Amino acid sequence: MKQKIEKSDLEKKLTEALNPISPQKEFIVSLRDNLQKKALVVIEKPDYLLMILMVLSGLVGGVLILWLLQLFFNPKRKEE
Amino acid sequence: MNSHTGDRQKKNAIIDRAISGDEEAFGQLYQENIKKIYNYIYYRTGNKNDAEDLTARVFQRALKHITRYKRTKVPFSAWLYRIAHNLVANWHRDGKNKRELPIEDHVYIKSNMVMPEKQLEKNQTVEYLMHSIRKLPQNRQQVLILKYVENMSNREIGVVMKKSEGAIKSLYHRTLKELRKYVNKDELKF
Repeated sequence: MKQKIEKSDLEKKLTEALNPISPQKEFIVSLRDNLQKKALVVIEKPDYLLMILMVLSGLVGGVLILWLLQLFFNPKRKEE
Repeated sequence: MNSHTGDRQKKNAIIDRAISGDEEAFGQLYQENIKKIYNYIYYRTGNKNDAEDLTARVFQRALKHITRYKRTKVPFSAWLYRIAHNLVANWHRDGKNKRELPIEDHVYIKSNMVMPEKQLEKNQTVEYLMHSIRKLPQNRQQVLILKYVENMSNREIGVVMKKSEGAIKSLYHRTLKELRKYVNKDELKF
């Protein structure tokens, strides 16, 4: 009958079994290259100032057009 | 100033450079840690393809979130282990761990002069041991891998696992106790 494994025995077996292994060289190199390529990708953030300016100019333009149209189609006001 | 403090300052300088977008600095951190992280993931997943895939994701995530690192106040490698642990946990949760562990991959031949019989015996030992380790809860597998594969002290393991040194010591003893139970069962089967 097999004897039960003692703690020290088990630790010895663990030391023998769990050895560091090395990843393949090609993997290390290709991953490094990929990471460097990724770093070259520039993520452009939206330009909020430009967006605000565009919205504001749109609003101002719209109001101006409405005012001009009102002047054009409301001759009474002109006569007064 | 002793050499230990000097080393730490050097490392911090590299990390600062990496945070500011220096590719070479990140490359240095990558070279220092790639083998450790790969090993950890390899033993947690049990196969080369997933180990490579998850290792790549660890470093991609680290590169993306490197600005968050400083807040953790732990060594850079410990931060990487935490990322690796989270990714492996997700991998197990998503049920991608169905592939069987190829035994030949696990056997590390220290000497080329090992006799076939001895090798066979060793393969078998490794096989039942790995089989038993995989039955353990994730945190217990993590303790064993960090201790035996990465040769970490209880204090270092504690930093990675966010536990005290005492808690790791106690977890390790409970792990051995549980593992011994499984090993005895598995050994009878083999």
